[in-house]
Order: sequence, then C-alpha cells, then structure tokens
Amino acid sequence: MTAFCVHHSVQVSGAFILPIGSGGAKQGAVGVPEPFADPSGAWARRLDPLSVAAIQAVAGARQMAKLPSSDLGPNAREGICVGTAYGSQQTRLRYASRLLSHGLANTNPIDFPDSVDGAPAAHVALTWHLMGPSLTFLSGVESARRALISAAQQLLLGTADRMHVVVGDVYDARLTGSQKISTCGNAVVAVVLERSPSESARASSMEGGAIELAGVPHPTDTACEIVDIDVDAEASDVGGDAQLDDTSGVSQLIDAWCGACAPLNGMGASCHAECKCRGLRAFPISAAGGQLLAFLKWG
Amino acid sequence: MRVEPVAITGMGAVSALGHGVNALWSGLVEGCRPFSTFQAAGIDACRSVIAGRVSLDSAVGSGCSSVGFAILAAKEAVSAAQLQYPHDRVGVVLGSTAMGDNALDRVVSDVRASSRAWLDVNKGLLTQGLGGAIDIGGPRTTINTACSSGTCAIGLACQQIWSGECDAVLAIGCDEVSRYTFSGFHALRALDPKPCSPFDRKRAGLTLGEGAGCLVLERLNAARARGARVIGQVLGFAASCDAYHLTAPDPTGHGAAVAMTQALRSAELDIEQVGFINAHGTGTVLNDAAEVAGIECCFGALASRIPVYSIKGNTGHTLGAAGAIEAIATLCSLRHGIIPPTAGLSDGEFAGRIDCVHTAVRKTSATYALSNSFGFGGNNASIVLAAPDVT
Repeated sequence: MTAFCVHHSVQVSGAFILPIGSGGAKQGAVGVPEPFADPSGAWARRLDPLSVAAIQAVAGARQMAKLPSSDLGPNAREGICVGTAYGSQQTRLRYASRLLSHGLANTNPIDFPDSVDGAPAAHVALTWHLMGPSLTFLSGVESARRALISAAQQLLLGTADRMHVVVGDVYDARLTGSQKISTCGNAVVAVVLERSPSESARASSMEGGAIELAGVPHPTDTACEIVDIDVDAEASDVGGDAQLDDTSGVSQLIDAWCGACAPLNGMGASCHAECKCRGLRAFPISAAGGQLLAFLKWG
Repeated sequence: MRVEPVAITGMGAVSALGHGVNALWSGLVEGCRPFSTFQAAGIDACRSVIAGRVSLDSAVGSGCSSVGFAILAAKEAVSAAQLQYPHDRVGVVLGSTAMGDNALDRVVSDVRASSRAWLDVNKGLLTQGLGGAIDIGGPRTTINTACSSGTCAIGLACQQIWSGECDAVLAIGCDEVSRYTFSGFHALRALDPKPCSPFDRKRAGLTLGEGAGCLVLERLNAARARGARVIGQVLGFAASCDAYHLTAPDPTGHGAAVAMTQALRSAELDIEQVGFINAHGTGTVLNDAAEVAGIECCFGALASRIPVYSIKGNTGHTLGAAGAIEAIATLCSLRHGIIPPTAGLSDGEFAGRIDCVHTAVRKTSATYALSNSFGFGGNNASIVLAAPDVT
C-alpha cells in the first residue's frame, strides 16, 4: 500500500439535473435557460435526444455557474467529458434502419456523424465553442466516474481551465422494452468543474456555495493509490440541503447501483454470476451515474 | 506541465498488412497496398467498393470482429511485455468508433430484439468482454472520440498510470469495416474510388480499413526496475476540439494546432526537437489541407523541414484503431531509423509547405516524433513519442 498521496481538488461551480422521460427531455423542464428551454426548438432540430439533453443540462449548469449562455467565441481552455452507456442510440438506430430498408448507397449523410457516440459532446462543444478536450466515455455506470475523473485531471494537468461533465442516457423505447428498463427517475446531469479560485468565487449562486470535489489524484503524483472522488463536505463549507451524507463516495454509490440490473432479470443477489450482463460490473445504465450526482442534492 | 514518461513495453497490431507488428512494419516499408473488394449487398452502387480488410487464418473467438482484432493485438503485446504486476493493477483503455455496428441489423430488424442483441451493440460491455478474454483485472474503460479514439486511448491510459490507478494499462484502438461505416462515408462522399492518396493533388477521399493496435504502458522507472525491454516512451498527450463543424475540419487548422502544441508542451519539447510527424493524413481534400494548416500553425517556418508521412495508403483508414496502429508505426520508425513513404502520393499538393515523405523510405536519426489523429465532432489528439533511451 502507498503511504502517501497528495490529493487535490477542483470546484463544482454549477450543476443541473434534467429529468428524462421515455422520449427524451421533458417539455418545459424547469430551469433550462433560453434559448434551450424548448427541446423541440429549431436549435434541436435533427439532433439526437441525448445531444439535446446534454445541451439543455449544460445550459442549466452554466447558468448556475453564472457563465454566459451564448457562445463568446473560440475558447481553447474549456472542454467537455461525457459519460454514457448507449450514446446516440436513437440516431444510430434510425440510421441503421434506413440502411436496412434503403440499402448501402442510400443512407442519410446527416444522421451518420450524429450517430457516433461522441456526437453529444461535439454538439455541446459547438454550442459554446469549447476547443479544449472533448471526450466521451462508454463504460456503463462507470462512465460517470470516468468522465468526472478525466475532467478533473484535465484541470489538474493544466490542459483546460473549465470542464463540463455530462452523464446519462436517453433510452430508446426499443431498448427499454426489450430489457425492461424503467425510465422512472432517469436524468441527464451536467456539472461545471473549475480549478481557479477566482472562478469558484464567481459561482456564489450555487446553493450553499461551491462544492469541492476533493480526493482527485493529481496526474503527476507518482505515489497515488486512491482514485475515488470523494465529496469533501467540510472543505466545501456547505449546509442545509447541500449537506452531504458520509456515504456519498462515488464508489459506494456505484456499488449500490450495480445492483440495478438485478430487478431486470429477477436473479437478485446471484445476478452478477449468472445474468445477461455476463457477471460484469458495468451494467449499461449510466443514468445511475447521473443519479450519483442527484444524490448530492444540487439545485 | 511535465508529466512522468511512460514506457511502452509491448506492442501488437492487426491490419490489412497482416497479423503482428512485424507484418505491419514490413508492409509499410515495402509500400504494400492490400485493398480488396468489400463484399456487401448494394456495394456496387457506392462510390468505392474497396477496403483494407483483415485476413485471418483462424477464428478470433468473438462475434464482434473489432473485439477479435483487439484480442489478437493485445495477446501479442502482452506476450512481449511479460507484465509482472498484480492482476487488479493492470487495466485496459479501449478506443473505438464502430465496434459492434455489425450487430445493429439484428436490433433494428426485430422490434422485439433480444437482450443479447442490445448487449452486442454496447461498446462498454464489449470492452468488458474483451477484458475478460485477455484476463485484465483492473479498470476496463471505453472511449469514443471518433477517429481520434485510438490516440485518446493511449493518452487516457497514461493518465491512469500517472494518477496511480494502474501499474500498467493496455491502450487499444480497434474497429471493423461494416456496412454501417461504409454507407456513412459513402453518403458523405468521402470515399476515394481508388486506393487513397494522402496529400496528393488528385486525392479524392479515404479508403476504409480495419484492425487493431495495442500498446502496453507502464511507468518508465518501474519498467526499467523489473528489467523489461522498453520499446519507446510516451512523453506527452493532448486533445482538443475544433468546435467548428460536426464533420468538416476547421480549414485554419487551429484546433489541430492546439492539440499538437499542447502535446509538445506537456512533453516539454521544443518544436525543433520533433524529428518527424505521423500525420492523420486520410486523403480527403479537407482533412489533409486542414492538417497541413495545423502543422504550419504549430511549427511555423519549421513546418516545411519536418518529415511528414501517412500510412493510410497502406492500411486504409482504420477509424478508432488508427491512432494505436499509427503510434506503433511511429515507434517502429524511431526504432529502425526509417520513415516509410506515404503510399499513393506522387504529386504532392503541399510541396514546399510540408516535407511529405513519398516514393521511397527515408532514413532518420530522430528520437522524438509526433502522431496526430483527428475525427468527427472536430476531435483532435496528438501524442509525443520517443525512443526508449531518451530519458
């Protein structure tokens, strides 16, 4: 075991939880700023539902962080990390359906790039002209943790000053139907991470003040062993509704949510040994990753 | 910020040039272009019918070709590395953009698609299956940044090592030619009817390819301490986004230059120290022009004197595998002191602006090189690679 490890921290200066229904973001989701409040608006035309939700959630998180809602021009110091299990599944399926029905040479050139799982990150980057890292993680429930850690590490490495993190899925009805996934409580969550103290000071609109994600291993530490992000309630000086439970460690929460596949197949405790997730720890419900942020009771 | 060098102690490759790093390297040096007709219903109506297909003698043990390629590449790399770390301290980061797409037909053709079909199109679960097949006990991470996925996998693997999460990480890029990707690039009019010709005046698009590349990464000091054979080093990595267009690159090359510049900065290298550049070089009109602009933006007046080459005229564009396969090619160049020619290039459009290696191999004494990958969504990624003994 490593005896010494210097943990650093980054600030969460904005967060937003976007409720997701069976067809995507719910109409009139409270708190999404203009011009992104209406998911059927021109800005969302032809975008995959996850891209739409990602933009709405980021708009909400940026508003909380008191950042401009519109594009201010090229910004090489801001980036985005997305964590999702199924990515742009609706567009992917739409494209594949047309391929099947119309043949190889008659597919839709607009749908093809939008069907790539990195498209939601790309659309967020395009919307706010983010020229920093744009990364998409597809590791089931682990995706959220990966996206958070990677975003924090970009800040600590100095490759970005501000990172947006979006986690979640908008399930296609065919998926929820075949796997009996409930969309109840589903959400796409966005947070804005920053390193600069001046930036976090600006984010005073956040209830209880800026929350600090501590325990992020510094990328250049050579002796780090612990990599879980722990939410440091004392360091963040939060109170009231933002008070954090002692059990809010990301890993613990992910462990709890890993059991989420059990109800889908009725195998209960033996799920991981026998079920269709092949005994794998990462079941494709990255909305669970979103829920871990909901657990923090932001907003 | 300077980061600790990461050692590469194992490599594995599967491509149209054959199975194994040696087959890849000899194919590049000999200028092989083993493209063949992609057999699929309706292919005749497409602008191009060729692709760089992997030819394997034996079954690869998986329903998904990408995973099969990755398993073969990983086994070669692990065999070379002879890792000695605890089981749960070795992870895998897999970059792919089209993995599982061949299973989509089953999902869309049956409204009551089985759970199994859904699992087969889920990249995260495919990576989990891959990790099980090659007995990886640590974290199994999947990343998709389109055609820069392979390079990003290497960069993120380094970050997992730097952070202490893992002692060693297999960075893998893999992808397969599918009806899905073939039709998509056809629809975008991005396919060249002939084998692609990167940086050529008459280039008309890319040629699709498939395969996998795998690099075993670990701390340099730890690798040396255990007596491992160090093949090369990763000194720096950076990713950026054009934020310009979903498919078209920024013609100014600014986003690409950001990735190159930051990668060099993280390696604490001056531009004068870069011996050559392994370009993304797809052969599309827009990509090659934007990459040249990006190189000029990053290297200034030096751009015209740094040798540049692309291997996509040999392997085809292997999408998410490209970054990993091309990193291996770059390391082979550093090791052998030879830069392979850019296959398909005869009349360079950018002569005088960049020094594009073509026609014949060129000798080099370089110890540092840059490898670029770009993709849909304006994704850019660059890594700085070095010879084994530079630090």
